[in-house]
Amino acid sequence: VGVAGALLSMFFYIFPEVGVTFSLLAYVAVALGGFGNVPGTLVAGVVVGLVKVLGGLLIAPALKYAVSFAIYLGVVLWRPQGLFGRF
Amino acid sequence: MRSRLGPLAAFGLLGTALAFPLVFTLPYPRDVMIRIFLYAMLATAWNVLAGYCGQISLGHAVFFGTGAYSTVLLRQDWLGVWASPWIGMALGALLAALLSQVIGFPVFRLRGHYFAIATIAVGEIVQTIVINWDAVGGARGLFVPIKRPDSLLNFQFHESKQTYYYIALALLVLAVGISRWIVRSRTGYYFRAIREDQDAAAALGIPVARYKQRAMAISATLTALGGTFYAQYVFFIDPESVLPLSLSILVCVVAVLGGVGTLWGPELVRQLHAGGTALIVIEHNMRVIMGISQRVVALHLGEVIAVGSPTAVTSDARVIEAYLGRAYAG
Repeated sequence: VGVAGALLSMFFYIFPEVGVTFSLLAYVAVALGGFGNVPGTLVAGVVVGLVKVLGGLLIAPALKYAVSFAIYLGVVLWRPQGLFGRF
Repeated sequence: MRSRLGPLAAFGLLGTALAFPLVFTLPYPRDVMIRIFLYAMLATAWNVLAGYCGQISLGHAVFFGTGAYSTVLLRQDWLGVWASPWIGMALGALLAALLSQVIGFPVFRLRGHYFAIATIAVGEIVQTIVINWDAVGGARGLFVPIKRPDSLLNFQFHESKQTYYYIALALLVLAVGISRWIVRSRTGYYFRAIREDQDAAAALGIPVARYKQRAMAISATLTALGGTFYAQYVFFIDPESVLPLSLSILVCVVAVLGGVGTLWGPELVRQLHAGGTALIVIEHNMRVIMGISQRVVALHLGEVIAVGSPTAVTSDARVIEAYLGRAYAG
């Protein structure tokens, strides 16, 4: 995570609370893939990133976080254990 | 907590709280106490859902914001409406209860981490929407129009914080009273059954979904009352102050510090026993059963294998064999 943060600071504004949105999206990605499922998390991470960027592009830039959280809600309601998770 | 302190201590505390503004006349100590009461009240409200019913919500800022926004929006002159904040408070509470049902219907299908993250997601979506919604002030927020003179009807007191103090205390007493009443009711037992084991509760015939919704509605309504109070106390609200994730987490931290769901929990069963009521509990959670029972009957494959006090039963060789296997017996 530290390495990712250092890389990110090259092209993103930083402030003390910058981590909050990213860690939130990380939770969402893990839950989307299914807890304890490494490949699922990887795929879900890519999905969350794409949804965020495409949501910003196609719908409204201000709403991109809302769109990614909405996608999470939609997926989890369809599959309560995440995309690839098992109970 | 209070039952352990005894009614005398409870009245003592309440008396001290009532007398506090008579001794401390400066605004600052009163402000500290008002905020303590507000957060204590929010934590009590959260505890109804998370502590008793076991559903860890990290999206309670939504209900706080509902209470704050509905009361302030009703007072904005450009809407052409002027209503007392008390009406706003009632409407906000009602709206929060409705909203909690709308949110709860889908998210209560989820459990554990998935539920907690879903509530975070709902909270973040609502905050983003409000930030981008100009009709409710957007990211700029809303001011409460100042009305003079001070009056209870206007819910504004600029001369002294004393009335705010008593209103906050009244809200806290209301929240504690309601959760105390819930704990002692059938609903409270259902909540705790759901918390301990949702599947077992459903198997016993408890309508799990309906009771989760009920816990959510009570919790949301109380949280909205706190939101209205906050708006009328600070006179300015924006999405960053009444809808942030940090508020949801703060409320959760307050409640967890105090002990989740333990306000009166285990104490109650002991008291019931002291009152001469016999309870028969069929339960597989050993820590609970051994803590509260005086006489335990252990069954194995439909056959009674041990009867007696909890210590006698747990040291019985046949019980150990049945529960833990032959290797531990003997």
